[in-house]
Amino acid sequence: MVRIIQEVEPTCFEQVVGNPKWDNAMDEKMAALDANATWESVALPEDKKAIGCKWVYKIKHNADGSVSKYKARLVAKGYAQTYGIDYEETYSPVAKGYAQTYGIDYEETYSPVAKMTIVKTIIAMAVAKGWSLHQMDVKNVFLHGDLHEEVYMEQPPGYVDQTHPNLVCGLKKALYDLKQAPKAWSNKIC
Amino acid sequence: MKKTDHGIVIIVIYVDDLIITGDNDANIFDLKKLLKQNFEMKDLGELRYFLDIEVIQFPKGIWLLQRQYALNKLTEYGMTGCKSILIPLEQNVKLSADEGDLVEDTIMYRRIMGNLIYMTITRPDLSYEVGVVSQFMQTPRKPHLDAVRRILRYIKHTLQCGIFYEAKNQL
Repeated sequence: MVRIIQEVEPTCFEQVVGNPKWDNAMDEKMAALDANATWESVALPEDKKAIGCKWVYKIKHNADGSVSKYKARLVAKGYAQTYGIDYEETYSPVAKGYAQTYGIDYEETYSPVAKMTIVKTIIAMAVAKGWSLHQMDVKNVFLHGDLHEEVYMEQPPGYVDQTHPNLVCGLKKALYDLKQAPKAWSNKIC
Repeated sequence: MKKTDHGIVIIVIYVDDLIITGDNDANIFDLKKLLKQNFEMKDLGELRYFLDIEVIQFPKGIWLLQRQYALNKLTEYGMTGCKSILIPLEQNVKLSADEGDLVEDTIMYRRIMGNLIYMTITRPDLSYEVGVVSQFMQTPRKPHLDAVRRILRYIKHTLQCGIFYEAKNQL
C-alpha cells in the first residue's frame, strides 16, 4: 500500500511540545550528544558571542513509504558565525554529487562525498565480479568531528538547565550546520 | 580502497552512508568490525536502499530502481490520480522560450527539474525529455509546465523501469 497522506513534519520546537513521539526523538538525540561529549556547560566569556540553535524534525520513511523513525536533530545557527573569529576554513559537501566548490577536487582528496557515477561504477563492478555489496551508516555523523575553534552555543530549546539558565554550551564537537562541521568529519574519516 | 594479498575491499562514502564491497567476504566482515569499533555505526546488511535508490540484488544481477522516490514525488505534486501516458513528449512539439503565459510558481518548476534530473540516474530513457524541459528553468511558461506534467504522467506509467546490471556480463 502506498501512503498518500503523509504526516507533516513540524518546523519548530513550539509545535511539538508535549508530543511523546517527538519528545522521545529529542531525548534520544540529547542522550547521543551527551554520550559524545559534544559540549560542556560553561559561562560565556565576555568577549564572545553565543550562537543560537534550533531543533529540526524529520520523519524517516521506509522503502515502502511507511514511517520508520521520528528524528530530531539539533542544529547550530551557523549563519551567525563570523569568518576568522568562529571558523577559519570551511567547505560544503556536495548535495547529490553534482556541484563542486572552491576548486577543491573532492573525490580524489578528502571529500566524504562520492559521485553518483562512482556509486554506479562500483555496483556494476561488484555485479560483474560476483562480489557481495553491503551497506552501513554512521550515526550522528558530524558529531564525530573534533572542533578546534572556540564556539559557544545557547542551550537547546526544551533542555535549558533550570538551575543555571545563563550557562552556554562550549562546543567540543562539530554540530550540524556549523560552518566547519563537514570538514571536521572528513578530517576524521580520511 | 584497500588491496592486499588476501584480496580487495572497496568503500564508497557518501557523508554518512557507506557501501562496502570486495572479493572476499571475510575481509568485508573484518572491515565492518573495525569500523564499528571506531565509530558509532549501524550495519544495514546487504545493500538495499542508498540515496533514494532501491537496490535489488538477486542471483542474475542487480536492479537499480527509483520507484519509491518517483512515487513520493508524484504524491508531492499531486499527480498520483492522473492518467498515465505511454510517450513522455508530444510528437513534433516545438517549445519556445517566449511563447505562452508565465508559470507563477517558478520555484516549484525548478524543484521538479531537480527531481527529474535525479531520476535520470536509473532512468536514462528520460534524459532527452528532461534535457528539453530544463532549458526553460529561467522563465518557465505554461507549455513547458504541460510538457513536464506529461513526463510525470509517463513516469507514472513506467514506475517499474530501472537499470539492470546482469551478473554474467564481463567488464
